Amino acid sequence: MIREKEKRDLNNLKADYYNSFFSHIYVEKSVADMPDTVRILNKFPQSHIIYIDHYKDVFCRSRQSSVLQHRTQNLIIAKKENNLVYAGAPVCQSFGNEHFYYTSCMMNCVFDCEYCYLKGMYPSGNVVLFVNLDDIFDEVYKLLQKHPVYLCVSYDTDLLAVENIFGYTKKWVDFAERHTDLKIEIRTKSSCEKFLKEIAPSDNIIFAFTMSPDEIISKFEHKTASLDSRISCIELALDKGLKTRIAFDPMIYCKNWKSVYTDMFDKITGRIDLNKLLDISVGTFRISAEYMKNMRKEEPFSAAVQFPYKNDNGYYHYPDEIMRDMEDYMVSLVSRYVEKDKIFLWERQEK
Amino acid sequence: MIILAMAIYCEAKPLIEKYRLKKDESYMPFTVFANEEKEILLIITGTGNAAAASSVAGVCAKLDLKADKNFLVNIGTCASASASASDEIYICSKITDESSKRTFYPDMIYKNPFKEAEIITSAVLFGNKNDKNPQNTSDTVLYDMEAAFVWQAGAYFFAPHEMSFVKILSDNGDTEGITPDYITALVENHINIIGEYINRLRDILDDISCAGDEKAAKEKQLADKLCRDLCCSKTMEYELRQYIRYCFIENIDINGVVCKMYEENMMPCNDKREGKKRFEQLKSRLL
Repeated sequence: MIREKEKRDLNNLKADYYNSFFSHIYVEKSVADMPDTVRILNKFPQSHIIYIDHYKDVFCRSRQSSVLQHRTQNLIIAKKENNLVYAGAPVCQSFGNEHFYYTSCMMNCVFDCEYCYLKGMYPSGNVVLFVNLDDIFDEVYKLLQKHPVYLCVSYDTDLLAVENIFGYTKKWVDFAERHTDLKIEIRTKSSCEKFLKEIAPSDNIIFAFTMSPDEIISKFEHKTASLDSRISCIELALDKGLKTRIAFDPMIYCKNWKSVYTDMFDKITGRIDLNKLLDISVGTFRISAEYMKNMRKEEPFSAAVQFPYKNDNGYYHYPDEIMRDMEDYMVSLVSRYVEKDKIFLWERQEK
Repeated sequence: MIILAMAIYCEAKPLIEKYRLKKDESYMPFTVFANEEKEILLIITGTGNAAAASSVAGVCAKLDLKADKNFLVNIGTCASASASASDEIYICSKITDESSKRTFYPDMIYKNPFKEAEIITSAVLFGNKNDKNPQNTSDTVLYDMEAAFVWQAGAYFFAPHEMSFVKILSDNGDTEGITPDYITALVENHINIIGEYINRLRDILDDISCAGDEKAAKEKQLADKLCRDLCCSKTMEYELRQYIRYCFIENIDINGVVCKMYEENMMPCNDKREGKKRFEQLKSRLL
């Protein structure tokens, strides 16, 4: 019980101590006059603006506490250079798409999921927004000259969570509508009904909702939308004919995982016809061991982070039996409603 | 612990009196005043780059600084060409070392009662500089002779959110009338707001420090015992400690499970092979 108390004490550090969200906005001098920079700064008239030479001067400082920074995230507005589009990582689900890429026009997320790999991947919990989105569009356009592209645009962030501030999801949607060989996935844990209401259906835009039981959301996925809100968004998206995917990925272990995931599934199927979905992905939590090393140092009281995972070739995952039980169970639930070819299971490597 | 770094005695005097700090000769050749009960230590760094860096590094290296439980606060006077009024007090969110042009950014995580400004640390007195507003900016730019070097030395011991830089504007480059008594009076004028800020930092430290050492000790005690009785290899030990940590967080009754295994004569083990087998059994009983 004491651990829980310790964790609460840490989480309950008087809110008074902390500066407000985006109280400080760091702006690269080279993008200070760009229209998006000016537009965003106008939304935060109370913020302190600090001009910097390069975003890494702030983002890559050593010994930052991403957990503390998540309590009072600051914004860094910058220009993205060099790698603008990346090939999909092996631990990520490609959904059978041959030319799988992702891009990061924003780094870090305003949500605060304890198990999120970003906490281990980035040296900072602050948010970086790249305002040269047109350069990224140009890079994608170059790839499209070679082959069709499947592009995840909300991978190292949750773009829809900050759509009312940055408006970048709409820009991606507009870009995708002009390029039929481009298929984009917009993944979210947000409540984005307002945005969905304004969007017209399109064959090459996929909205992906990560689904978790309320027990997991309240314990680990801080600031994200409730399960009910996520289901409402999916209902709305399907009613509008938007291509919609749900991801039971990552599934997070807890002692009563079977009952909480069953309850969640029943809630979903009570309101949504799964056959209307584009597809469904299933996978238990897995992460690079290198990222996990950083996270374990930063989050000593997080059960999701401190779980004794199994390390296989530099990747942590649940012990084989737990991983198999959880994934097989979820696949069996989903299989009652949809054909197997619409279910994408994370390709596990059991030892 | 709150570690204050101040350049000269006349700046530090009001704080030495407020916190009843006593000179601590154990940090010689550095000048240090401390109050162990209040967990405050004040370094008189001396003026200039080398003095600031060497004294902060020298004293911090002697301290047993536990991570996340300390703050370094550089307090001092400064000059500015652009500030409208002297006697204002600022906290610095951007610090530039004028000689190397390197810039440092303290993490502005915690609320504070001060105005914000950027500061440039120069090797020469502001009054002796030829160009007193090289950035030609209307924003308040402060000048001192220590901040960037307190940062650079402090960065070996503190995270960016554990260092802060509080500066009181004393002059616009004209040093006539800037006497030790004047400097002491300047700091004295702001002693309440500085005290409020230090109290806030101490409250934060108190909250952070509540994370129980006692529970961690119990966790370690169990891990040490099981490592021995399961004849753990290094790899097994690492895995076992992770299991124990998870059980403590999730309130899984690992002590009960372990006791039962002792009662069933499954432990202590005779060798690594048996230990490995028993560890597998322990894992399956826990999850």
